[in-house]
Amino acid sequence: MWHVQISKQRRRRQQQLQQHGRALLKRLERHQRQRRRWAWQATNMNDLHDGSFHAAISPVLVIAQCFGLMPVRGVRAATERGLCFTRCSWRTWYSLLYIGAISFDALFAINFALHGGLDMRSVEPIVFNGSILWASYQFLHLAHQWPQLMWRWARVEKHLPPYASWKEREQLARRIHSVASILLSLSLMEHLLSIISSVYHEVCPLRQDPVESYLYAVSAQFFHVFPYSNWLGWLGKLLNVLLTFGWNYIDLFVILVSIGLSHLLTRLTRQLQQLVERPMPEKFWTYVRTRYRSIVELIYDMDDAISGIMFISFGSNVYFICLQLLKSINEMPSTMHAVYFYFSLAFLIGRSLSVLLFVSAVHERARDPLRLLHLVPPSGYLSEVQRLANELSSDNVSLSGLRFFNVTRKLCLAVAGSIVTYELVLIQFHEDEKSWDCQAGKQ
Amino acid sequence: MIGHAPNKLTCQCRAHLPFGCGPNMRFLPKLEQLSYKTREQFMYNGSFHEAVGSVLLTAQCFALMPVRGVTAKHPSSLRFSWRYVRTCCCLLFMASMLINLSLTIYKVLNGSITFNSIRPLIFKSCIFLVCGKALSLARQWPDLMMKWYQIEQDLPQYQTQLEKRRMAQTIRMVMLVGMMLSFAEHLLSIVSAINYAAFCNRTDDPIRNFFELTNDEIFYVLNYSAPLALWGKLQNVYSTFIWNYMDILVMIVSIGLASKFRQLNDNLLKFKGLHMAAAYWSERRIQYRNICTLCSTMDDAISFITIISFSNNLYFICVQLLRSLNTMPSVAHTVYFYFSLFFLIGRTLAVSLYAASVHDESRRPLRYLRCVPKESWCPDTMRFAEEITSDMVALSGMKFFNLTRKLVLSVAGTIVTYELVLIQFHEDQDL
Repeated sequence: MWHVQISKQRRRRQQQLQQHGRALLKRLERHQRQRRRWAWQATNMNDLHDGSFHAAISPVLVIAQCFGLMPVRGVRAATERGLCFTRCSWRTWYSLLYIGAISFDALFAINFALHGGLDMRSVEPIVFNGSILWASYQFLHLAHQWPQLMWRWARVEKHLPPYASWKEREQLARRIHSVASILLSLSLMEHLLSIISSVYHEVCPLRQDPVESYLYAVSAQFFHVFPYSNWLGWLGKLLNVLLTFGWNYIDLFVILVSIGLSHLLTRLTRQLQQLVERPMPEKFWTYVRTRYRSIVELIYDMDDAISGIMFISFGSNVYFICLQLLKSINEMPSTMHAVYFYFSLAFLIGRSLSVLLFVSAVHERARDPLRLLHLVPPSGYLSEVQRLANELSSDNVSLSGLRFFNVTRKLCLAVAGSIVTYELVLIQFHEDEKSWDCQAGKQ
Repeated sequence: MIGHAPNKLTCQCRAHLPFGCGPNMRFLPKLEQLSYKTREQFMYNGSFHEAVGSVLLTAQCFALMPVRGVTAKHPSSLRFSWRYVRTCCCLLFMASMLINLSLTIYKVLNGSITFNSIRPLIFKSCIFLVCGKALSLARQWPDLMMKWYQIEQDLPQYQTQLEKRRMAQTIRMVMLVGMMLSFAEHLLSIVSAINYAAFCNRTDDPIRNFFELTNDEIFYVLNYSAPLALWGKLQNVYSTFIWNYMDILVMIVSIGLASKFRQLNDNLLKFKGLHMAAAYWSERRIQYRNICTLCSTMDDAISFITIISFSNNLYFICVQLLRSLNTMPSVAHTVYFYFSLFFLIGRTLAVSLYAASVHDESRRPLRYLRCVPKESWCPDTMRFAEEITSDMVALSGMKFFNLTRKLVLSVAGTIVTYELVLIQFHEDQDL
C-alpha cells in the first residue's frame, strides 16, 4: 500500500513542478516579446545614427528584403538584440519563393541556351541566373547567421574608443547610405536605359506592339516553350527586375560589409595616432592589442560567412567584363543603343573596381597600425608593443573569395592582366554579330 | 550503432544464464568465448593505421601496397617481405604492365604524335610509375605507421567515440564515393565502347570487335586470340583502378594529417583565451612540431605520387576539354564523355582541396595563440607563434609546388590559358 501512496505523492509533485515550469516559460516569453517591442519602438524615437553598423546598414537590408534577399527579422530594431531568424516567417517564405522562381527561370534559360550553340555569348543567361541563384542561397544561409554576427560586431564596437563628436558618430551611416544610394540609382538608371534603348529604337520587331515586342525579347526563354501571353511577359519582366537588383546587390553588400570592417579599424588607428608618440603604460598597449585582436577575429568570422558571396561577385564580374568588352567590337544599330552599351560597360567596370578597392581597404587599414608602432619612443617600447608589432607584420588580414584568393590591391592588376589575356584570345574567334540584321539573327 | 550491437548480445547471454545454466557458473567463461566479437573490437582508438586498414586491403586486391597485417589492431604487426604472395602478385602485374606499355609505345611511335594521341602512353606510363612507387612506399609503410602511431599516442586524446570515429568515417566515405564513381565511369566507358564497336563493325563477332577496339595496342602487333583479349581487359580494369587510387591515396594521407592537426586544434580551442601554464604551451608546441615532422616525412614518402597525380589530372583535363569540341557520334558517347569530364574535374578539385586542408589546419593554432592573455604570454608561446608564422607546413609535389588553396586558382588559370592556345590548333576529328 505504502508504495502506491509514495508514487501518488510523486506524481502530484511532478504535476506541480510542471505547472510551475509552464508558468515560468510563459513569463519568460512575455518578457522577451515585450523587450522586442521596446527595441522596435525605440527605433522611432531615436535617430538612426548611434554609430553602430547594425543601425547604419538597416535601410539597405530593408530594401534587400523587398527583393527577397536576407530574410532576417528585426533589421529596423534599435539594437542588434532585436534581430532574429525564424524559418516560419513571411520573409523566409518570400525568399524561398524567390529562389524557386529563379531556379525555374534558370532551367528555362538552360533549355533556351542548349537549343542554340554553346559558346561564350550564349551561356550568358545561364551564368547570370546561376550566379544569382547561388548568391541568394548564400544570402539565405547568411540570414541564419546574421543575428549572431551582429551581436559579435556590437560587442567589438562597444569596447572600441568612444566617438569624439556627433560628426564622427554619423560618419559610418553617412558613408554607407551614400554608397548604397549612388550604386542603386546608377543601376536603376542602367536598367531604364536598357528599356528605353530597346523599346523606342526597336530594331527587329518581333510583334506588332512595341511593348509586347519588348516583353517577348526580355523573356525569350519562356516563349521558346510557351505561346506568347501578356501575363507571362509581365511575369518575366518582374523576374528580370528582381534578378537585376540581386545582381547589383551582391556587389553592394560586399562593399558595405567591408566599409563597416575598415571603419572599425580606422577608429582604433585614430586613437593610436593621438597617443602613439607619448610613452604609454603597458596597460594601454594590452588594451590596443586585445581590441585589435577582437576586430581581426570579427573579420575572420565575417570572411567565413560572406566569402562565398565574394567569390561569386568577383567571378561574375570578370565574366561579364570579358563578355561586354567582346561585344564592344560589334557595330551598334543606333545612338541610343551605343549610349546604353557604353554606359553599362562603364558602370560594370566602375562597380567591379569599387568592389575591389573597398574590399582591399580592409587589408590596408589592418596594416596601418604597424606604421604607427614604429613611432613609439624607445622608453615606451614594451614587450606588449613588440608582441603587437610581431602580430601585425606576420598576419595577413584580409577578406577572401572562399580562401582561394585574398583581396588586396595587388589582385586588381592580376585580374586586369588575366582579362586582357582572355580578351586577346577571344577576339580571334569573334565574329561580328550584326544585331540590326534581322534575317541573319533568325537564321 | 555498430558499437552497441555486440554489447547488447553479450548482455542477453548473461541475462539468460540463470535460466539456461542454473547455478552452475562454470559455463560462464565458455559463453564469453562463444560471443567471439567483444565490444573492444568495435571500439575505435582513432589511429590512422586503423582508419586506412580497409582502404589498403582494397588496394591489395588490385596489386598495390603489398604489406601484411593492414587490418591488425596494432601497427607493429605490419610486415613487408619480397617473398610474400602479394608482393609477387604486385611484381607480376608490373611485369605485365611493362609489356603492355612497350606495345603501346610501339603503336604510338608508328602513328603521328599529337597532344591527343599520346594519351594512352601517358596513362600507362603514369600507372607503371605509380605502381613502382607504391611498392617502395609499401617497404617504408611499417616504419611510417609506427612513427605515426607513436605521435598519435602523444596527442591530446578525444573523449567520445563519435570524435574518434570521425577520421575513419571520412576516409571510408572518400574511398567509397571515389570507387563507386570510378566504377560507374568504367561501366559507362564499356557501354560506349560496345556502342561504338557495333557502329563500325570490322568483323562479325561483336565480342571480338569490342576487344579489338579497347585493346588496340595489343592487336596492332599480335593476332586476335581470346586469352590475349582477356589479359588486355584485366590490365585495363586494374589500370583504371590504380589511376583513381593514386588520387585517393593522396586524399587519404592528407585527411589523416589534417585530422591530426585538428585534434590538436580542438584542444587549443577548448582553452582559447584562458590562463594556461607554460608547461601546457611547451607540451602543445612539441606535439605540433611532431605532427609537422610527420607531415614532412609523409610528404617525402608520397610526393612523387602527388606530382604524378597532379600532372596527370592537368593533362587529362586539358585533353578532355579539347575533345569536348568534337561532335559526339551517339548519346552513349555524350553521356560517358560528360560524366568522365565532370568526374575528372571533381576528383582533381577534391584532391586539391583535401590536400590544401593540411596547410589550413596547420595555420589555425596561430589564431588561438593570438588570443593568449598577457599574463600567460611566455617564451614558449612566442616560440610556438614564431614557428607557425615562419614554417610552411603543407604537402608538396616534389617540393616544386606546395598544395594550398591558392594553387587551385592558379591551376584553373593555367588550364584555361593552355586550352585557349590548344583550341587554335584543334581540328575536329570524326570518331
